Amino acid sequence: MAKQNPKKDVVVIGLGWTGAILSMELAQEGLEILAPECGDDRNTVSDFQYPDIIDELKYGIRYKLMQKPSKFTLTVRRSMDEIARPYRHLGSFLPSDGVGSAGVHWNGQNWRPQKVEYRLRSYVEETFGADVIPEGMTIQDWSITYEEQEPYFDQFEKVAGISGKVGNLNGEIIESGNPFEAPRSSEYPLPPLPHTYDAELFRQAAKAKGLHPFPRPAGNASKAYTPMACSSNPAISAASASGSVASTIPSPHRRPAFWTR
Amino acid sequence: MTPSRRLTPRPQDEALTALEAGKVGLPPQLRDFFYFLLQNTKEGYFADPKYGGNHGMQAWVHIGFPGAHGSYAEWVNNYNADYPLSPVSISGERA
Ligand SMILES: Cc1cc2nc3c(=O)[nH]c(=O)nc-3n(C[C@H](O)[C@H](O)[C@H](O)COP(=O)(O)OP(=O)(O)OC[C@H]3O[C@@H](n4cnc5c(N)ncnc54)[C@H](O)[C@@H]3O)c2cc1C
Repeated sequence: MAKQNPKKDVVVIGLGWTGAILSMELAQEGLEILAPECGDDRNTVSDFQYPDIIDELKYGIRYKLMQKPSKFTLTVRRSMDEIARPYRHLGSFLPSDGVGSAGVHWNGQNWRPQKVEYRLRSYVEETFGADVIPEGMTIQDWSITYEEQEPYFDQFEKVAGISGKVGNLNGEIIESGNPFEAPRSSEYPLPPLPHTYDAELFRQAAKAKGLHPFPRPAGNASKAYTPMACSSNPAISAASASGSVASTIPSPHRRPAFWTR
Repeated sequence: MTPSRRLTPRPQDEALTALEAGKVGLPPQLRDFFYFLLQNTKEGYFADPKYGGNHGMQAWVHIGFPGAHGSYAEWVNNYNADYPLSPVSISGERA
């Protein structure tokens, strides 16, 4: 007999960044949420704690945090006349599952879009002429602007504990940051990661050529970080105290009115 | 697991070479046997001792791999310096 679960207000399918943030926002509105997740259930502790999480064979080689190709996979062919075959061993790209999903093993590069990317079609037309865009090419302007999204980038960076250096603070250019970025309303919540030797050599060489090297905005915590109760949603808890692993795991688990299956 | 412990080194090499070249006449479902054998051998040699190989972390000592230290944060700015600490395993043993 089919098991009947009590009715909830909302069902959110899948608990990656998207599902987890959405769930937190909805839970804060007082709604009851059921979140079925087809991969493993996970918690910051014990699933991401030292030393188990730096088991290279388990995670780096055997891809414990990724989707299992024996459960679900894609077929790939390199040309139209090849037979498409199942992707049996992950390598060139790494789809994920489980609570946190791709957000627990992303590289943590946290770029914001450039302003011009919001109006790419207009930009190309203005700069190169309307006739450079071939018919059928789907290049579009977005329906929103950078300014409308800026507060949410700011919020996300504080939720995820992004390390970096501001280069454009409300229009004021700051030397050590990225001078090409769109204006930011505040500094990153964490200072930039220290330069490794190779990065430092690169920085010096670029600087000597008159270029503008800057530290990359990173999802790796440069210091221990507890997400601030930012304006409306402390949605995600950042987990990595050592700074060596970019493990941020969404944690709606710890809220009442939340169930995962 | 070696192809046969009873073979001397030269026939062992020949057997492995034939296996790699697909000249042993394995049934189709064992097509990837050589790949797994090689992969698991490397894993056994280099993985944490909790997997049963890398006895006493000697593979790590040999290549100068520090193992499972908790943090290298204080070493990031120490350019071109040798890392002085000996390997440590996930279970906390030191080599
Ligand atoms: C290796 C890698 C590196 C990356 N590096 C970066 C980076 O440096 N910077 C950056 O900005 N982005 C990066 N990304 C991209 C970024 O991590 C993802 O875009 C983001 O995490 C996706 O979040 P999501 O919630 O939309 O989807 P996902 O994280 O994919 O979550 C979807 C969830 O839904 C579940 N699900 C799917 N179908 C069902 C179903 N039918 N029933 C139940 N559950 C289901 C899945 O199991 C999964 O948990 C990277 C991604 C990968 C894979």
